[in-house]
Amino acid sequence: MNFTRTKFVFGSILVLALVLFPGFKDTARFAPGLNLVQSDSSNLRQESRYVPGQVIVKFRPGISSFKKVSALNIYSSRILSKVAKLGAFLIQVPAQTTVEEIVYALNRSPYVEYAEPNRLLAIHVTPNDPFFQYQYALYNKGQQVWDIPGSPQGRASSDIKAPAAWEETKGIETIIIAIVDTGVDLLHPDLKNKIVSGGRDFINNDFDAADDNGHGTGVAGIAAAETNNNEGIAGVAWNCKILPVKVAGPDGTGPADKVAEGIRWAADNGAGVINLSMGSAEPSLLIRDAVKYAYDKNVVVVASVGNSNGPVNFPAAYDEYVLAVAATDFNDNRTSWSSFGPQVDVAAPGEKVLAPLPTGLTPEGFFPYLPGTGTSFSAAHVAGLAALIKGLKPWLQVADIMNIIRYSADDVNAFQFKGKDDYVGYGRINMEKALVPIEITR
Amino acid sequence: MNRFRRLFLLLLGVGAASILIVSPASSQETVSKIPFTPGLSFEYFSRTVSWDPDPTTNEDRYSSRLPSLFGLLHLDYQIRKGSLVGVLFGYSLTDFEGLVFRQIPISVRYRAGCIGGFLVGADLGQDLIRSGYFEMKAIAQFVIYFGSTKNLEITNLNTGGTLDAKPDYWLRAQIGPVLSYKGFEYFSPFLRVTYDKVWGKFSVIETIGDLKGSEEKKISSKSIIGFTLGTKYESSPNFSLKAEGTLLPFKKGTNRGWGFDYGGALHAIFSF
Repeated sequence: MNFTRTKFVFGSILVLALVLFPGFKDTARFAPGLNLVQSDSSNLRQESRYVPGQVIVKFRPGISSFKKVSALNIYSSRILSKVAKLGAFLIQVPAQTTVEEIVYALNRSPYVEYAEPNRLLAIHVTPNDPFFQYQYALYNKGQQVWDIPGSPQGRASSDIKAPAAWEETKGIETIIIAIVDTGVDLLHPDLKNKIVSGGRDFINNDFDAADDNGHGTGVAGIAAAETNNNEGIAGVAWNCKILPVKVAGPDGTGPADKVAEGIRWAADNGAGVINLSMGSAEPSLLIRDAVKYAYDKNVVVVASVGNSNGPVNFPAAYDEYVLAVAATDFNDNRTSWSSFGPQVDVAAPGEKVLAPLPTGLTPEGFFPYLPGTGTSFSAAHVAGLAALIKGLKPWLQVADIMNIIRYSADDVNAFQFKGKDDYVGYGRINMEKALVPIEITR
Repeated sequence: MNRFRRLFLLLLGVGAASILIVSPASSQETVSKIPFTPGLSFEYFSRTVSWDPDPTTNEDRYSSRLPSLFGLLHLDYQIRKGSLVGVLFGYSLTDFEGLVFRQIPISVRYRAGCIGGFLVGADLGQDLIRSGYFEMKAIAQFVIYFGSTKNLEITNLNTGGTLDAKPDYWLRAQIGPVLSYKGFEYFSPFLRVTYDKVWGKFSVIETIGDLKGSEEKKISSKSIIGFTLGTKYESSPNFSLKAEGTLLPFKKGTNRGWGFDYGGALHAIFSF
């Protein structure tokens, strides 16, 4: 083979290689005449919301086919199909460029009316519960907290990202959240189908844990109200069940022995998560033993820290065994009354949170729902999230579930206290980060 | 993995034994010169892979793309007229884009780009029929990729973490007939229909604060039959060039029609 022929052959290889394999995603990007920013992680997250490598382009009226093809050829793009009757084309971008780059470039072309990514539209996991629009805690788009004059307005995204997380899981029926509280309204329209049994009433020593206070019903509804049933509110854990355990009377107080018994009974009767929206400034070793018992049985115990702007209450303060929850509001600010201390793990909305009210306590002509305020309601959100994680990943140990909830929280007061602090702990919980696969980029 | 390693070693052994048995000293009556044909190829494929825990569901939720670009050095040896064995060595950039790991404590979707890795493989070829200008042969190729570990940071949580991503391997097996037309002076177009499947394994180790978890994901291509159209250009008795494109149809999820994987290769072959 002479030298000229060798050059021809190797030249041909090179040309063919460039034609056949114009580039590769991980190699340097090719963007003729473009000066674009490097994709950061948020861009990459965006990218997952449209069809990779595809762009829709519509040319201005009167542009000849030759010019259209020329415009696309500049960027080595090819037409995949014509979008019927709308005069737009679906094009494939070459591997060495990004969708953003091509969209940017085409939108600068005088021939192009518009170019955009071929976006993926997903069915919205928005429950049809009529009061969902007032549940800023689950999805805050900056709406008024309540539909009455003078109601405060929330800040968009100051929520726990529930709809995005529900795309991943809505929970499973075998995960039971025990509401160790004042009982639960067993006949409430948003709860009656979610309750596994009449539960256990340690105050009256029977198996009818009906609610004569209202607190437990509200907590239960926030955690796991029946959802997408055209009724009332949405629960955090759509499909998880509720186990009512009554340990407090109509005045909202319960003795430590009953509370401890209730915790232990719940752990022995199928609870995967126990919500304890109650507490005391004084420790109780009996309750400590009870929460340890539950922890050792791989039951997640979630407790509210208290509403006194003082030290974290017990049992929330039993740091090793309990996830202690503080309260934020509709602007992601820590509420002024939320208790604080090093035991605080996370926070969740607890200011004017819409919750079910026992039908027996609802005045005639009103819906059986009421906005509630307190870390009790914050804890209920976290209990719902714990149940969703447990259902999605039943192999995890309780310590892992607690850490997932901690590490995935948004550090909403980072401007004041970066990292974990005594007020909101690791931050306001983020269901999306806890449940939906996070994108790992370079 | 041991299964594939054993398979590869077996193929190597068969190739080596064939070369020894039919060495030039013992096969002078069939081969008049040293039939050694080294080659260099560049190839790209983009396959749809599935890791569905329940293969009957065939959900998109459990599938992603596996694009790979690689260069291979082919060391082929004609053991007798019409029979060829060879070994392959190369390097690949492979992107396990979109693999989702849900067994680890905090689920992740891999979007960190290509991971380099070495390739080894084996080639087999056997002439079958020749009729007029048409020639049919059977080919088989096995290529295994061994990827290196990529250490990634998990940055979008309040607690820093790492993800050690390791593509343990992917293996591609291609077996099938090739029909060539020899009626032109320099060009020989060909059509190949192959059983063409890719298997692989990808592991991750996640560490975030006190959370630790690991997960292995076995993947396999949805497409298993490839239709390749290409042409061989023989500029001289000592050098030829082969270009080809492959389309691999596969059934998408239930009631979702068909999808297509694709690939292409450019192969320079030298004969001595």
